[in-house]
Amino acid sequence: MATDPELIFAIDDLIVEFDTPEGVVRAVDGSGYQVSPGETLAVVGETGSGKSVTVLAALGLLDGGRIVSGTVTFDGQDLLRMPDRRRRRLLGSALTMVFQNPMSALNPVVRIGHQIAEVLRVHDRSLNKAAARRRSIELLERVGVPQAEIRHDQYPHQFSGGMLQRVVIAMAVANDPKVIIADEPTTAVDVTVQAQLLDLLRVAREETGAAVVMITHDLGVVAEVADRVAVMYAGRIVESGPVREIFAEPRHPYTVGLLACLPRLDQDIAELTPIPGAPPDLRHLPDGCAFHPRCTLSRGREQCQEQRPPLLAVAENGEPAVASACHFHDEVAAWAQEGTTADPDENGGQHG
Amino acid sequence: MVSYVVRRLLQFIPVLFLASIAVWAIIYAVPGSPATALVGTDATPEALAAAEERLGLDKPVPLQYLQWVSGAVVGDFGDSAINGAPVLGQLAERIPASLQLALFSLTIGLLLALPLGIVSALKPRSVLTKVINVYQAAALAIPTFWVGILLIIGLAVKRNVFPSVSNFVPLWVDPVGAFRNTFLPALCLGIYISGIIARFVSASLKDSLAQDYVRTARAKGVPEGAVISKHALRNALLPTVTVVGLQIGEFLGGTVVTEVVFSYPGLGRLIYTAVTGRDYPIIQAAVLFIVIAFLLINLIVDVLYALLDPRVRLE
Repeated sequence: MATDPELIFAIDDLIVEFDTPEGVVRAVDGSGYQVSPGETLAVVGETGSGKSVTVLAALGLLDGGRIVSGTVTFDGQDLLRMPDRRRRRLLGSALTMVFQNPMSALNPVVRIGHQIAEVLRVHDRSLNKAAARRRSIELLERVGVPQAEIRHDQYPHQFSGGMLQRVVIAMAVANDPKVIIADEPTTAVDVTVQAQLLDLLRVAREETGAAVVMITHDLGVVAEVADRVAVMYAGRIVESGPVREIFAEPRHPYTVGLLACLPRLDQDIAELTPIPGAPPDLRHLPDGCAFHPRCTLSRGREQCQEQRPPLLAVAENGEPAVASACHFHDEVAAWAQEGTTADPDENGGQHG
Repeated sequence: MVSYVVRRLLQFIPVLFLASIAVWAIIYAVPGSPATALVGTDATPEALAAAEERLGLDKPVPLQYLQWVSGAVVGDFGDSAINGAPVLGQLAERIPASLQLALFSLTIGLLLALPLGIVSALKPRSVLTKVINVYQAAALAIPTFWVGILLIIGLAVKRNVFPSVSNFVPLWVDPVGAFRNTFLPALCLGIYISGIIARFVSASLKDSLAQDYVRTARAKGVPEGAVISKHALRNALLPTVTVVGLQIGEFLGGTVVTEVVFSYPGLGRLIYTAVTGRDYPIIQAAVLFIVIAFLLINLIVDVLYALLDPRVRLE
């Protein structure tokens, strides 16, 4: 899979563990996804499902965790096994990140312009100060920061959250990246600014032709920007496929649950349906399918409790195919239909 | 910035006023009158009265204060009760010596503390860090006079590397002599503060390294050395400035023990001899100087902070 020339960035079977006083936590448990140039992949999941840890581990930016196994391929090169020096040359130039909280992602005591110029000069030693300054101002203008000339010499605390995130995006696109990984880029900013930032990222993708991995827990964001979506649960991808197909016909009970939590304008729904139970304790993951204790489709079937379902292609008609990690993916459609009309008590009785 | 500094300097006035009352009241806080201390307990009542008159102690208390304070504002702190020389002159002799010792101690302290703090923050689990932790605890816990005596025995008595009695040789007159004479007491104090400062550097660097902007810098492909020096360390040094400032303040008056051990003619030893001899005019003036020094250093730290951290505004 990793040798496919069509793929610019691929994570395969990544396992990441953390040592805690309460025991080993397996935050990422065989997760993996791929993106092609120009494509936007959304990685969706609850807090703690391992979305962020997966990319941080893949890029060697993880603090404290341990990569147990897996491969990460960028542009045909193995990211995990290359020397730090070579990986550093890729980070910030061909492979860039946009972080969740722009307020803390920038150094409070360094001028905005210097922080942008830094990413230019680290990767282009021949760039002198004056040229770097010109390019930083251009970049600020490109991401829509007004009065770029003045803003260039200001400090992060003089910026709003939305403006800071524009700065972070400017740094991410500065060196014409091939892959941009955006880790919940709109979570920490005002709703009114979210759409602008998503638009900016879309424009950045179109201008650079980069692949975008958008990590989010917001299905609204997914619908807006993504071509494909990968749903993550307890450190694994449980379903992946084109956004349209996943939204229309989810093939995993967890995806069904996520979509049922989403308010819709096109249907009259009296109440939103929460997923019963809580995300699993990553120190003691259940045997079999990690979702089975919360799954109303499983109904206590032994296969769900004992065998871990692999992520397999389920729909051959669509290209790329939808893949689901559910033993009973062919039952999901019918179950989802009855689930929305079923008695709330049967559905876990968590309304309220 | 300038108006802020002026305002802060004006705020010194009430503080100094209150401090001067406290400083002056020292005379009454200690049992026995200064006159008794001067003429001895066996003196005749006439001799005692004469001494009291000479010191002005026969006048009403508020008048005594006014007399003292009106002299103090123009720098006249009276004459030493012991040797009769003007207080200001004796103080002016000792302050440069103490400043030089403080400068040397701080330099040694920082030269020791910065690498130790940085190493223990970067490699928290290494054996070296465990050794550093022991050093930090020892530097804080072992009294300076003991370290001082060991240094004198080891480097001055057994091996004649440094003089056992440290004279004040001004740095601008004879740098080599200044170094030879100031090094041992400065090392003694430097070791002591290096424990505190290293602990601060280590804690705040660890804190900075866990911040998001450090991760951002790494994600930008910035080499690790620059991530630490340009991003983490710059932020980590902010809290360190405060500790260092407080240490300087302490040095200007609080190195009594070290100065006595090394017979170093600084402010600390002047205070020591003045206290043992009940030389109140000297004590009052010296303590007042320490108060002023502390106020100034606090102001300098605040201004420095504003220069280092753009988020701090001096309004």
